[in-house]
Amino acid sequence: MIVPIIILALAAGIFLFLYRAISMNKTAELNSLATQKQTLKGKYQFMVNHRKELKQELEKKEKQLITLQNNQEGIKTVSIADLAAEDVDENEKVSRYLIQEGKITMEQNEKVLQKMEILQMDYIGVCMTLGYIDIKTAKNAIKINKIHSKSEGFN
Amino acid sequence: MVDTSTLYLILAMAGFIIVAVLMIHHHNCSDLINRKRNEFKSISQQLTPRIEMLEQEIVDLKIQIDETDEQIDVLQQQTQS
Repeated sequence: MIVPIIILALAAGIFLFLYRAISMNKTAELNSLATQKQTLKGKYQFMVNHRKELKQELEKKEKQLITLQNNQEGIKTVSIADLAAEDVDENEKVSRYLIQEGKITMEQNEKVLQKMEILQMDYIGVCMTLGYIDIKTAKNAIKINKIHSKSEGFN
Repeated sequence: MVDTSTLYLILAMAGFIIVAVLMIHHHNCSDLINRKRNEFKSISQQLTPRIEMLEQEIVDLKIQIDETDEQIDVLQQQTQS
């Protein structure tokens, strides 16, 4: 009677040990995978934030550069006469105005020109869609353009 | 009282049940681990190219910032002199 009871106790002990070992292995694996996943997501998030910071820094520096260039060459604003150049279309006038005012950079201008064909929108619309200018700047640009159109009408 | 052969029969049955329970538990755990591994693999496949692209963009941005800095320095020196 004692021998079967000993065997039963041994079997129960082995069962508990193996069950616990399997569970612990599972927990360790899951924790490891969760850590790896977290690390990867963290790295991605860090890169996104870093890129955003760098873009902001670059934008700031480009504006600073444009301001310096303007200061050196004398402040250049787009005059009505400038805008009235016959060979220049409306989008170009607006782009020149925005660049010279330092609202957008040359690179952003190129991007906008590329996107215009894809989005089938006008220059100001694409600028606003891409977040380069705010509504106030857009209104100013439109206003300048309208003034030019009126002056052309008078002529 | 149960006789010896019946007791050993019960013991054998208990042994089978223990083995079955262990196998089912092991199978469940492996299944869960595999699912999580696949999940991680798919996330990794999605994020790795994006991270590489971001790294490249960051390098480009740093180069552009350095160039702009140099231009600003030159202009500032010209303004001062």
